[in-house]
Amino acid sequence: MNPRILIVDDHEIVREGIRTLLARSGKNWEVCGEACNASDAIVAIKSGHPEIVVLDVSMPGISGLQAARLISKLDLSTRVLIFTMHESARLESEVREAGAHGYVSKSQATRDLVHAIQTLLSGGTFFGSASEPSNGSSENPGRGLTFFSILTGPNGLRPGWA
Amino acid sequence: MAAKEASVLPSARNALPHPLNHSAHSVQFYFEDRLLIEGLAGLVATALVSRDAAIVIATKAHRETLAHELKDRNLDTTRAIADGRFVCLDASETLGRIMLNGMPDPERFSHLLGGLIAGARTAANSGQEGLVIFGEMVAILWAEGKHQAAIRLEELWNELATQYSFALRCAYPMNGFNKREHAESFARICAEHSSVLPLGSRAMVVSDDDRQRTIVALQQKLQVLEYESTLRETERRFRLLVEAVQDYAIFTLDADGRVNSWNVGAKRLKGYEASEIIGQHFSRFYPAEDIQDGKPQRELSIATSEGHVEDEGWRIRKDGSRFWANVVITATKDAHGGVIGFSKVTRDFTERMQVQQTLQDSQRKLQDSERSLRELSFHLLRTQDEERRRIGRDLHDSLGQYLSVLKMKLDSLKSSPSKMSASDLAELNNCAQITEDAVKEVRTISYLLYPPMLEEMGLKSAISWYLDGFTKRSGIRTTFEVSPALPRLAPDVELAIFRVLQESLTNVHRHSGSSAADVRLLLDDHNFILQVSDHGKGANFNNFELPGQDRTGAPGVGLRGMRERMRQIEGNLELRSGDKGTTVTATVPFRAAVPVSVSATP
Repeated sequence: MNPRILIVDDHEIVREGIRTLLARSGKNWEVCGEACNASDAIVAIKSGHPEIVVLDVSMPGISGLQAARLISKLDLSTRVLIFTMHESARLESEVREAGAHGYVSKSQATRDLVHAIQTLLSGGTFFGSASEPSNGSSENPGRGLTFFSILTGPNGLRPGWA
Repeated sequence: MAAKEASVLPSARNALPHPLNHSAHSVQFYFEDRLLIEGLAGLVATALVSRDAAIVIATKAHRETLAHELKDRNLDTTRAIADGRFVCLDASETLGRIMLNGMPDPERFSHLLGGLIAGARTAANSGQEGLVIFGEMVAILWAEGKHQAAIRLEELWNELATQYSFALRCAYPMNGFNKREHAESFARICAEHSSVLPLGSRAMVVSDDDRQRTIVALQQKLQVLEYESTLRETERRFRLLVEAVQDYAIFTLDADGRVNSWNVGAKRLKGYEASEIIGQHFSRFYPAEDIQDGKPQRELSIATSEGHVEDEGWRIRKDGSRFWANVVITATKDAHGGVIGFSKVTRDFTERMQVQQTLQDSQRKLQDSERSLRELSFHLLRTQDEERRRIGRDLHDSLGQYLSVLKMKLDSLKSSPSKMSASDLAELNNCAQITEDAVKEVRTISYLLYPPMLEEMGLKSAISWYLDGFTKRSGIRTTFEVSPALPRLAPDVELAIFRVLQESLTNVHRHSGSSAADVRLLLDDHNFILQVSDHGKGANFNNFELPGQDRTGAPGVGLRGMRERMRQIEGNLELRSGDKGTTVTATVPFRAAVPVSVSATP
């Protein structure tokens, strides 16, 4: 099954930009859905279990960082990539604290987005232009949490994960 | 006390009898005319019955009373008068005949009195001792205040006694000697007489010891008189004072509350003439509702038990108009503590009350204005924040997104294989760079207007981001210490603290000359604390009153604005400035900074 990606941004033009970028990447990824706010995104994640969520930060209602926290509590294997206009020295720690697996600055989308998704799909994290190798260790909280939930989580073993 | 007695009482030596070589020259000081006339009638009756002669030089009133008294004693004086044995003269008239330039003239005196004495004696055909004379001319002189003249006349009588033999009695009303300065003259008058009659006595005193004792007794009596006179004078002046007071109604009530005295001020204030109000109950000064409520009687009861009562309230004038009165009622008590009446002092405080009311109104209006102003400033700050937030959001979320996507697409074009010429590719690169610069510019402007990450990531991130930008723009190094336990705060508290930080750093940049600034975001037991310190030259806080503006154009709101922001969230702003720099401390109590919940479920 091709990796599935959910795109979450309140601007249609941004979603369209991401779609185009992914389509031109030549990867066998499937954009399985789009959402324009965090609430819709969570509903979509719960039903569709995408591998990757590309998540904007500044959205009406629940912010992308808050949404990332909620997603990490769902105990799913979905990995979250924050896609933001913000640039700050603290952004990385904020993203990590929210339980997301990386971030890409919108102004560096062409350079970084595809690379970041690729990294996350292979179990790594991506913070800024410096990517981290996948090691499946405790540096990957999302992965660790998922692994833990497979063994002991209330919902038991989930299909689609190996 | 001893000194006073010495000054009032002349020494006994001064009052020693004049060395007289004539028969008794006595003096009688009297309070009651009755006693004087009884003594005088006895004197005259004895003389006439003894077929001696008598000369009476007395006031008209005394002569008439004497005539009645003699008649009551069945003494027919008609014959004696016709014979010239009893001569009755008016004292004032006779005095007029012997006075010259305000003093008794020795020649006139001697001529007139010598003639009278000779005449009377001839009529009586009596021997040397058969003549009594009663004189009141000295008393008239004394009463007229001609004290020297009176003493001089006493001397002339004594001189006359060296030529003629007669018994002389002078009489002075005691009341004429009621002043301290009379003591000396009193002693001299006593000295001019061989006998001084004790008070209340009709008998002649002969012994020196008796005379001495009498004089001392009289002098003591004079002291009492002087005291009483002073007291009366004081009372009189006080009464005049009270009566003349115009601005205060001062009046007295009897024990039942009926008016029994009334001054000018009372008339002026309440409109009643004394004749109209005396005897009336004082409750008529009170409004009907107070009377119904029993207030007048209650005030008297309080004054009776407490000694006095003070009250402010409406009172009614004769014409029915009201005035605002300040009233003090004081109970007047007798020696046993029983209430015998009340004194009442009333002042018209209408104007004062109106002034006070006006003042209170003004204060209330001022408070209202201040409140309105605070509300306005609150509203202005809020509107300003909302406006900045809206513009910032619009820039970031709309223009920023378009530019981001534009950049994305330009980058895509660049990287895709195409038949683009080298110059077109360079131009495309240029477009991509310009677009990226535009994204950065939009981001900076929108963040300064309203940092979106403040809402999304909280103070830690927003301050950290702001300090990075501040250092780049100003060249001022910054440190940021933040308590790891700092939670998210209420949005308005986070915004207020962020704005204080912005303004403080703008001030550091504009005024301090410092090359570094330290920012701390801490917690103590009760508060969140933002501290911004520089190492500059210290500040004149007046400079901070005006809104600041940093190099990027983000407006500050000045010290006043910072204070106002803190005040609105129940916080406090403190500035300390010295040689080593300035520290701004913003403190917000926990209770005002309820952390926002981050566990909202979709």
